[in-house]
Amino acid sequence: MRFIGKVFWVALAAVGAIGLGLIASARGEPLNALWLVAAAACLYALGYRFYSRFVAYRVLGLDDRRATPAERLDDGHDFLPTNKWVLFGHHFAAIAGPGPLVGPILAAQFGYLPGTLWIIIGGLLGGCVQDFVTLFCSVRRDGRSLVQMARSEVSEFGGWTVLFAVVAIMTILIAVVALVVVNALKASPWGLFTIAAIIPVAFVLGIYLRYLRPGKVLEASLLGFLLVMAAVIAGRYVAESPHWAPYFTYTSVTLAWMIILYGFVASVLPVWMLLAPRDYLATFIKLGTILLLAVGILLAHPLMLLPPLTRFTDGTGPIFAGKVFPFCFITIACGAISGFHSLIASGTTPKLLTKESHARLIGYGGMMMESFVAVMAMVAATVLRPGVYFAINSPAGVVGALPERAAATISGWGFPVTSAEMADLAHRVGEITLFNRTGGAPSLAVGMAHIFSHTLGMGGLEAIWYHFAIMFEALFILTVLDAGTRVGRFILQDLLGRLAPPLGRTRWYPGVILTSALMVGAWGYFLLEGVRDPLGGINSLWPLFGIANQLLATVALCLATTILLKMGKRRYLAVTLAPLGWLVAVTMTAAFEKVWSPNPRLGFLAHARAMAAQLASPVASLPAARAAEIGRLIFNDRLDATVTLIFAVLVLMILAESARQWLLYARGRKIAVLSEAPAELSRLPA
Amino acid sequence: MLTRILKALWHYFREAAGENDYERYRLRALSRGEAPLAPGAFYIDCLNRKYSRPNRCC
Repeated sequence: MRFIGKVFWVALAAVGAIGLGLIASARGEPLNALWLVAAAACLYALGYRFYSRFVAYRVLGLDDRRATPAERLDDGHDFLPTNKWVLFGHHFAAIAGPGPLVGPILAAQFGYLPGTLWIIIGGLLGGCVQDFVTLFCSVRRDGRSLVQMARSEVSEFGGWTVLFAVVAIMTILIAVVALVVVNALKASPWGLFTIAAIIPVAFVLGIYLRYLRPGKVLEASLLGFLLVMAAVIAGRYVAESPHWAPYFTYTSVTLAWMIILYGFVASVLPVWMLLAPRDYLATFIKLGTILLLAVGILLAHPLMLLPPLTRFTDGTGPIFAGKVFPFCFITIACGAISGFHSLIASGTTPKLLTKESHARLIGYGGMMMESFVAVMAMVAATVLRPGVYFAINSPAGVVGALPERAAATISGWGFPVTSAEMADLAHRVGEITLFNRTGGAPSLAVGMAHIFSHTLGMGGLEAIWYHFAIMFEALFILTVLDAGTRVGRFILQDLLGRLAPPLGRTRWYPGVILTSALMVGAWGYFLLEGVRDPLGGINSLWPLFGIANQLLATVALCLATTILLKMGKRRYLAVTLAPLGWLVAVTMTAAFEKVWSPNPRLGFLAHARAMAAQLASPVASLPAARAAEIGRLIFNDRLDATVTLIFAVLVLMILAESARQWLLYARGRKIAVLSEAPAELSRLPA
Repeated sequence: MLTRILKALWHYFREAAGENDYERYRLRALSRGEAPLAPGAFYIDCLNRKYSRPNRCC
């Protein structure tokens, strides 16, 4: 490296270190968010330039002379050499979901520092490495999926674990993101009207793309964007109309049933009719809004009003119970490392990679971008005053349902807020109330509205920006919901088809309806459980999702470690073993505490015992409906504990199986056989 | 300079949105002596392939 280059990187490292130092030591006066952004950007640049390069060429040995499966098996459909920037766009659109937006918002209850550090460090050393190495492994194996690789490189049991984990994660993931949408739309006629309008817009686009202009995605998406923006603006008039507002104002339970119905219909209908056009629209709006948020933060350079650390690092947080370790890491989830990404990285992307060196940009760089999205979400959370942040995100079961009571509770924690201030804020953003709007989406929307409305003099459009942000988040989530249900249905059909062949036929409608109903029923159950949970469903469901997601990441890293060992890269095993070890510690600790903690807010079984004591109390005579509700809560707690234990046991079994294989290879008791595709010389230019 | 950048961006977005995929497929099919699918059928085929595997993350 030339001298000027070295000076540049040293200067960048210094800026990053100063930024980190400032955000870590900030006390009293709020810091400008640009310091957080600058620190993150510097560290990402350093991580990509040095660490990813080290992993690419020293650890993995990327070789552009080798033909990738896109070149060797080019069939113009599934395998096709693709421009690396186009593929980066596809891959990023595939991995960027609601997780890096919602997780940091929730984790901000500890203050911005723990979450930010994990997003950056965990991302660079964990998530980016996982995505990169999985992509590389799949490219060397003709684009085989994680399930197939786990089966051939670890064991048959490993393959089955991945399959089970995928369905389980999808079920919990869809339930929890659906809960986020329900909480964002309850008692919000403007929000519900906007989201509901997306469905007919998607139908219009579907017909346009199918019959009028097949494949003309850009013009269809532009048309869709204009129609959706019209819906966002028209939503105000619906909300203010005494005639129409009641038709778009529903309780959480009713909204949950609506979303369940939507999920079922969207996954059963032909994909061109609703799912695909809505996904195209969501992708463009998603990418555009992320870019807009980045520009908005740079232009608005807001102050971070949330402190670096709050009192809730002690585990008594209102949004979810549990200390920073392990729950900050579990909650951030996809913002730093996501096992689900390993499915994407071993899905379509490896089949389209033109050169092995492109895996560095797409695998490592793609996850780095997602981590940066999480940083921006954290910034959006920090621009809220702490009292406002906690007023929006704290469930009624913790702070009280009445505004005055909630405001008094939160002020008593040292975060002043008044019901009048919250009423004014709700009015400014066009909502009836912002109290108890748990799940992260409304507070993210308020933060984004604050940033956008303070940019380019658009102060009078706070309500429009808020509902635009709600629409953007809901679109993100609907994508996960219907596409995830559909994929889950395919997996179920594949499994059930082994027992009853007709069920495995994807064009046999009775089978499609049955398996879709099973999948929707599974996540719908958890959604309804979360909606009825007096502690706020996020408290129980989000950690379940986090644990499940990290389980899959553990499997992916076990696979990566096994393959590195087989490649003879023993001295570099720390690259995957270090994040693996950390993940196992976090996941196991979280699982243990969620099952066995004596704190009823934290431990599922402790909460069940507390409910059972209520039921058995001779003093209180409960009405039959309340007794039935308590009975259901007890069952749900035990179900959640069982699901958590299953995840934990699976992690341990995979780890034990992998460790057994590693010892055999390390001692020379088993010959390492790599199942890579044969190396052929590439004819494509570099 | 600005025109060049905008043209490059437009080309990128068209490529990323898959708007050139059908033409590429059609030329390839013809070079192999195969009858290409109609644009609508090709579009449906692509969608079915895309949404039959995990392609949207959390």
